[in-house]
Amino acid sequence: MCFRLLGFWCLFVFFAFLPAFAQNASVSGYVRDDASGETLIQATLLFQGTSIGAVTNTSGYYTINRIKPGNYTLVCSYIGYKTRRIPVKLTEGSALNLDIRLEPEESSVEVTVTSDREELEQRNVGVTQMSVSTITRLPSVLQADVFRSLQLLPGIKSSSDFSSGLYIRGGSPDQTLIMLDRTTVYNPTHIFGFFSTFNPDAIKDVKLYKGGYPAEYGGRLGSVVDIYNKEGNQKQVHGVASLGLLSSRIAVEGPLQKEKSSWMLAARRSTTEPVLAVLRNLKDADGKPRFQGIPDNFYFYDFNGKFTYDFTPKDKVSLGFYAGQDKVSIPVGEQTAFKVRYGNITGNTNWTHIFSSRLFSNFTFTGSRYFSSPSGKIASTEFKRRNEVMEWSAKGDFEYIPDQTHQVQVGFWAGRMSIFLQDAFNEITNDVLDIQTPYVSGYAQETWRPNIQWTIKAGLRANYFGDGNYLRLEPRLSADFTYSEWLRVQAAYGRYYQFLSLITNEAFSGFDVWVTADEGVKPAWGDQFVLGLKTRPLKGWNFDVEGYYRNMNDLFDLDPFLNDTAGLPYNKLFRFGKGYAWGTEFFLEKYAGRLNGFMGYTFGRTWRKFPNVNNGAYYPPKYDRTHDLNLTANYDLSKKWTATAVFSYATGQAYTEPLGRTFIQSPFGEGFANIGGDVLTVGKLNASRLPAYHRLDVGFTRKGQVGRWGKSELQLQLINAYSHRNIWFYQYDFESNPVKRIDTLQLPILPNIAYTIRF
Amino acid sequence: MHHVLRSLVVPLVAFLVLVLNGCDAYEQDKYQKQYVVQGYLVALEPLTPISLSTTVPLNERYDLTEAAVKNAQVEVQLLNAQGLPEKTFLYQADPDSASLYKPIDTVTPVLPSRTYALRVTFPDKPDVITAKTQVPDTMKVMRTNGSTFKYQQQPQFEQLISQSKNPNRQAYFIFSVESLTPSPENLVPFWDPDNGFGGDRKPPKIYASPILNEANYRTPEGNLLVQLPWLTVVYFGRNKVTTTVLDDATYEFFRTQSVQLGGSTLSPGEIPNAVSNIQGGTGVFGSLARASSFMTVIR
Repeated sequence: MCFRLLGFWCLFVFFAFLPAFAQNASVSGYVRDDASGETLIQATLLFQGTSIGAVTNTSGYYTINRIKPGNYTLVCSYIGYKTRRIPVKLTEGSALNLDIRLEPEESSVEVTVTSDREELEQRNVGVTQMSVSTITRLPSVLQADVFRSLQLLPGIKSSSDFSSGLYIRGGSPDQTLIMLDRTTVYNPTHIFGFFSTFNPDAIKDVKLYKGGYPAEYGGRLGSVVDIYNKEGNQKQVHGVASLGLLSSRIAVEGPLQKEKSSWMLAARRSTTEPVLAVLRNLKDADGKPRFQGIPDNFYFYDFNGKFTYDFTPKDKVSLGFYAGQDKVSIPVGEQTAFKVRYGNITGNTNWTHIFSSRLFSNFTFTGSRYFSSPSGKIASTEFKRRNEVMEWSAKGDFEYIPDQTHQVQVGFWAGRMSIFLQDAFNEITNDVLDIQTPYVSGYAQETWRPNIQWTIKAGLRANYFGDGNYLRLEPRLSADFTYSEWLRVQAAYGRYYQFLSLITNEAFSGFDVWVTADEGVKPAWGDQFVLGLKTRPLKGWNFDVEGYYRNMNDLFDLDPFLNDTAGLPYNKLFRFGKGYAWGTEFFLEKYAGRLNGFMGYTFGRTWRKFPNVNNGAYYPPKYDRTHDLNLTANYDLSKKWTATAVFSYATGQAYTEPLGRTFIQSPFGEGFANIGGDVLTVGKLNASRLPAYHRLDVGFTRKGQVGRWGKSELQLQLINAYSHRNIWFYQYDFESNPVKRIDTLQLPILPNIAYTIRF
Repeated sequence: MHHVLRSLVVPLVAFLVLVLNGCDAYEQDKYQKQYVVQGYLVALEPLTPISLSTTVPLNERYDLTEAAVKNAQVEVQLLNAQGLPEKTFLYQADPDSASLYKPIDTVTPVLPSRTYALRVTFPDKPDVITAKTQVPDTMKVMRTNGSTFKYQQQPQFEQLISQSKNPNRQAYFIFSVESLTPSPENLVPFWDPDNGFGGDRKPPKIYASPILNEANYRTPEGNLLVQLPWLTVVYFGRNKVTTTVLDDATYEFFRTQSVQLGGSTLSPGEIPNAVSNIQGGTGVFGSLARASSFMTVIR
């Protein structure tokens, strides 16, 4: 297989250096932000009056081939930037290298509305892009967060106010591949899932494939979140500093060598220590601490950095890294203490090489490490866990564009992953997991545009996973029909395999453990079908409808009833099940004008089945919500003031209503036993619904000036403005007789204030 | 304007079709009263009482006396290798307890590695409750590393225990510490109400561990070397340390019962039924084997 792949690449390199067809010309280059020099991903280019155009790739590079010689106007556009119209003269056989710079729009009041076709071009099946300005503008719980903003989009649900986990089209968070600069991130959360590890100041682009993702991605059943950090301003040093209630952050970027190289550094740290100190020192009238269990330490920090250098017009190298950690240490009386430390470190080296106007390549070396080490001591009895995921990989991607009707992509991703999990209790250690496994994937994908209306994309991805010696093939197919300038019809199908599974507790992500397929534990797999309509009902409005169906098979999940894993063969740690999900998403967006925003509504269901629960019948997981509606609106009150509101409504989550109770004494009689006691009897699993969830967040932003050198932004926000106490789950108090049901509530009304300076 | 309407018709129709087809019939069950059995046989010890009661609806007061089942005919049978009754032990209602049924034979010990069957019938109704348990193999304490230990000293109290053989799987254990001198003056610092984790909890006379696997403690010879964690000691003074091995029924029931209210990977609010070996009811008819030794904890 390796030799065939090598031969395949050699052919492409050969074709890359073939002289272009004598009669036709080509245009290629980068599209950049004129102010900073950052490349722009998915910018649109079109020769005016024709159907010939292109979209920039993830490196911000475009190429348009086989153009008949002549005089043209090349129109380049990107949302949030002024459209440029560039006169271009092409002669026979010419290969024009044309880097384009776009000026950012100064005010959101005057967003330029591009042509319908240009707008529609950017909305591919199952794909959503979210701008950083949207993320930072939306009212947020204590600080702007990428994942919490994504949760507002149709098809994406959250499990609670306390979690930034993405539940996309009925899948759990581990069914979404999270990548930062082409590097996998294994636990992308801070404060035990409260919000994500992605610093909005460091991010350039966020692309989300909700489903039906193409062959260049793989390894997850459901979706992909592909995030790219900024490369840095190639012209001047700029920065942003922000102070908030939960954390503060600073990001600085600038050129190393003007117009040739740049750097970006961003840091963020929690600022909760003063609040914790106050709570720790509060005393009752009798001098005892008013609050127990206030952490001694509770902080997080993270760093992002990137250095980019354009060695030649055809070679660009970048080095990127992320490092972040959370630490909590809680004393409980004199004889007990708990500590948790967890975090991620990622690094990547990327080389972009342009072979010719027809062949573009990208090579990346990545390293990713996730670690988690909870520990504690109770009456001198120690318990510790050591949990680590380490991954090294190399990736290569080639894009070959021989002409306007074909685009061929091939690539590979090979690496080695190790997962180590060790539990120690009272000095007895148990190596629960010690996995070292290689993996290799390769893909080939062709995008064919036989005419201006049709685009067909067909691909095949092959995956090999060392543990268990699994080789799996994943076909992908999508079709796109542009009926008119205001209507596109899209469909996609894909087969997906997943060799990893995440053991987590939805309420608390600090102890997450990844496990892999192995002998006796087959990889999970599923098929996805997507059908969508993208329309432009009116100028400045988008309306999308997308329906999906997906199945999930051979799901492997840690047996929730397992007390102890010692001595069990690997395949006995798991339960195996299946599931399916279907839904329809509606997305209405007004993107121009003083009043703008979007509404997302999803109607969908998801089901699971495992043999040891619910008598083996299908049941809805907790995060199944039939109706999910999110409305966001921004209004520019004036040049200085903007108001933003977000309203969310969703069907209550599924839960199991206990029907009866009894009492079973443990065999040890009355005492402290970890078994026995009150026993609940239930009917169908998760057949009841919590009350509907709804919440309104409002925010006001005031823009100002800081001397001559900077701009400021003061954000005042009210989360849960009418203080509706949504229920997270029910607990049961057996000290009362009859049992008393206690509501565990989500966030109350919460003010938030943040001050940001940009310089 | 036409194209605006056209662009909306198709998705709206699709939506209506989905809404009409989307209503599902996954409805909550209604409460059904069930018989509840609780009984544990202990290898090499006489038969123990069995409790019979019923469940009550969650929103009603639970009182074992009111939930007790009376007038049942209870018997436990020792089965032979073919699964047929070899000997039958009859039970009678305990006059001092509403729910308990006591064995008439209080002498014959329970045999290890043998199967016992429970059968409950009623003279006035056709209900039948049955269950089976395979008694674990016995084990014994081969030695300990001392009899008197200072609280939180190292090394800790250690027992070497012979293996309880099971042809199908490793053994599952619970370790317990029972104080023979429980009094407030004897509480260890950890359980002092004014200090530490104890807090408002009533200090227990017996502290039992969660279910633990044999593989944690196995020696090369196949025995078990168990060190007693200090968090299990509640009182100074004389303590009885017991290692208890569980049968399948007790293991399955308690490992599924213990996660009903959280503490595993299940989502909050997702509550499965405890797995029961009782046919015609719920609860557990299980069996155990145990071995004990003693130690004294001093300040």
